[in-house]
Amino acid sequence: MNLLILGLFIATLNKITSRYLARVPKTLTLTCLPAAVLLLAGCSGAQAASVARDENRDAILVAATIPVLADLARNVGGSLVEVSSAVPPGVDAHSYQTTPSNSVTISRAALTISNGSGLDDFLLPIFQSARPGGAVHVVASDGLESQFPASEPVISLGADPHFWQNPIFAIHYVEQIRDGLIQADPGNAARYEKQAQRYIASLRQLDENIAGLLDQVPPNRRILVTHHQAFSHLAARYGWQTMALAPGDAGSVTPESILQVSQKIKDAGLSSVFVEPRFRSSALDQVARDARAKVSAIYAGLGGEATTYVEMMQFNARSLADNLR
Amino acid sequence: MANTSTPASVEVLDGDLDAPDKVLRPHALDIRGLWTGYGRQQALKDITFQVDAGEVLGIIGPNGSGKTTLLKTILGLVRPWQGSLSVLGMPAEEQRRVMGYMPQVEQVDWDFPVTVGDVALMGRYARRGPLRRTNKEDREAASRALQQTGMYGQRDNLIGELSGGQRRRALLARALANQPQLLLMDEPMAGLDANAQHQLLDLLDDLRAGGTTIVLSTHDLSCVSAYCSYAACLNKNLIAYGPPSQVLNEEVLSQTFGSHLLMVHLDGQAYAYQHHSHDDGPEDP
Amino acid sequence: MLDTVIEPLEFAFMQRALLAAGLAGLVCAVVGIFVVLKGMAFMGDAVAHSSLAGMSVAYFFGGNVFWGALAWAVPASLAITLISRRANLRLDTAIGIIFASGFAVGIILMSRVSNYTADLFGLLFGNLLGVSWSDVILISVIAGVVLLIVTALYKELLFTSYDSTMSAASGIPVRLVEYLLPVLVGVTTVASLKAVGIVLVLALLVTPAATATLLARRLPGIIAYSITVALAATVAGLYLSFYAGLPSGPSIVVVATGFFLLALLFSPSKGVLWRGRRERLAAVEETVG
Repeated sequence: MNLLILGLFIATLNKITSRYLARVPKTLTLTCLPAAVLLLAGCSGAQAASVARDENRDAILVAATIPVLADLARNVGGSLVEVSSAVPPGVDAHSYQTTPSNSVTISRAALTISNGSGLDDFLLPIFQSARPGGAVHVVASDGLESQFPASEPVISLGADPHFWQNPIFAIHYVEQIRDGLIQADPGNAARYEKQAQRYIASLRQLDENIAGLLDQVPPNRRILVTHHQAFSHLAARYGWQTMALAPGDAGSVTPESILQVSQKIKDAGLSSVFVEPRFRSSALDQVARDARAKVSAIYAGLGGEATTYVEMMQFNARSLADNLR
Repeated sequence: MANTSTPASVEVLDGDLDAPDKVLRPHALDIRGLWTGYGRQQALKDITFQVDAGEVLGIIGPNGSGKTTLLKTILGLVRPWQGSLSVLGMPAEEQRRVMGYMPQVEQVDWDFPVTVGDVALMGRYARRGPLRRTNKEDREAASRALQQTGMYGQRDNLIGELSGGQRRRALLARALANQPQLLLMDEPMAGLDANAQHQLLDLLDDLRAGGTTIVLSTHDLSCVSAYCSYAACLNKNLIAYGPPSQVLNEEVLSQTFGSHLLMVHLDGQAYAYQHHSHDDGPEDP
Repeated sequence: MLDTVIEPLEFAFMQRALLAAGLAGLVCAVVGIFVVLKGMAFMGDAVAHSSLAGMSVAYFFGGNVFWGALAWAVPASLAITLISRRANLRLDTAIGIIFASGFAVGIILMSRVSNYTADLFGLLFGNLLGVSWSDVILISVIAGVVLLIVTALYKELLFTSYDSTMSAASGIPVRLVEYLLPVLVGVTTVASLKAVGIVLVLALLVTPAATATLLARRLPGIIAYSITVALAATVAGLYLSFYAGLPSGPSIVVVATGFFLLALLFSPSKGVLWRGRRERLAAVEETVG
């Protein structure tokens, strides 16, 4: 079917262009022809290219949009899966340009995972375009967004898609991924169940550790000031306040938000604001300098010192505890 | 206003204007009470004259006197404020297809990647209209025009490779490709050497013999007195109109050109040159 | 060797990417010639950038950003022409106004509508690997319509571009053509937005055509070279992107620029290298003669 449409299409194209170029039709047809042949040749082999299982390692291929999802999937799947992330760790997902090798990987995956809630929507066309017909797709945050009625004026919790900053929500992610893996690879259902259970237990432990660290900060200074709002779920989980220079994510720092944030730092006597090391914010640097606060590191996603989800969360908790105590 | 020769005194069909049934042939060009300009800037004031088929009219006047504006108004590129223009008995705007126009060379983009042959063929485009391609008839007409202007040998050259005289001839070939009955030329003699001028004038003679009416603007009075059957002295309004022998006298010319003029008297005829004229001297009338 | 050629084509996403980029390249190559000859490059750029406003509106209503861009591009193109004619402004001034205002409105809307900059980046840099079959069909319809119009009005476009005074004098509807050409440029850029995005669309519009003017003397030859360069850059750029793991849209632009540089150096008539040699030869002849 594809072949037919394509053939017709190229024939028409040739006709139009050669008529247009009445005086040099030969040249043109010659240039169009190789392209047509290539495309037709490609179509015949198109359907054959869906490989769900890596034959050599007997592991199913899993493609995630961002590294943090890939890490969760690796912990659930263990040696049964070969996981990759479209956006590499430490790269700004917002400006990441995918390459054909991303699409090739996706086209061979048995399971694809996205975060949802707007965070990785920009990657969906790439995934939809490359995903093989039989692959299972999991939207990890499904079911979480609806827990938060859109009430807060500046930024509602439901509008912050970085749900994994709350370990309890990360557990929800893990359950979603586990279900997806079982659906994609039912033969190994029991092993996925067991591995997920073990990982969930470690996440509960992580949750307690974080709570312990953050409790070291005096209650009046439990305020996390960042450039953009990626930590509202972390804050909500442990009874903190957050404040961001750019409430949304489109870099829209407004004079009003600068005033509010500066005021907050002074009023609460905060010794530090927090920013992701790779995404320096000159606006926040300036606000911090004016308020005599320092700028410390925090991670919203994987990269740098945060090589796994658990490490990232521990790093963040330590950074908050050490710099605000 | 001029007193030596009013338009009416040289009007061949004078008196027949209100009785068209007596007119044997319509004027090639008939302009009555024409006022026009750009924006609010008036450029031409109350112009009235007629040219018969097969005649050559030379329009003279200083820079900014409205020569180009008059040609562009005839072509329909400038809209008249008032008055009427008719070409071969029909309103001018309906007669664009029978007119040929040769613009000043400075107004053309000579870096455009087209050949002399392409340019000549463009003269035929309007005839074909949208959606239609030029056919064999068009190519033959373009070839004939190139031969007439002596540019056939250069037909595959890019226009950017031409000399000044050749560029003029290429533009003329484009105007002729449409086999115009009324040929309008803006400063065709400017910058041509004497030899090239003669070639051009010979060609115009041939066209005129074939019944083409020619209207050209020029600074060159000797050319007008030698080749044109009518002269129009223009400086916003029509100062004088008629056969060159009657029109080109000292009074008219000083009125037309103001003080920017050098008068030469020869055999009882007055010749006037503008200061920037390229001419070597007067020719015999 | 053959495997190298065939392998990328085994993937449906690569087929769609090739088709979408090839079609966009083809129509850009043809329209781009008039853009280069008439010095309208920034017209195309302005229409592309200002289309962000239309895309944001479409995004807001959950529609296809493609239609949003198209619905914005056509009036924006007309507005540029109209402003420069009516207000007696230079064309580049009118372009500047439309360019910046549309882009500004677009960014404001995007910052309100989407809480993710990534969506904005998708519009700015294109999403060639995410092209769907319906996108391909849409692009081919637009490309087809634009090429049909250019074919039908080839004489008029050529004559008017070359000498608008003269073509008006010979009765060609110059006014129509002068409004139509910017619209064609606008629609062409929109068709190319999927492939290379707002920022790079100018390269697709200008580079193949500019390369062609270095290689051919006459218009028909220029058109043939422009199309050849555009298609070759599309195919080679996508293969480069496939094997070197580079973003696709920018790869196409880089390859096209490579062709341009080659033409600049080696063009028989205008090449920089030959020019040096020609001048040396001329100098030798002069001293000898």
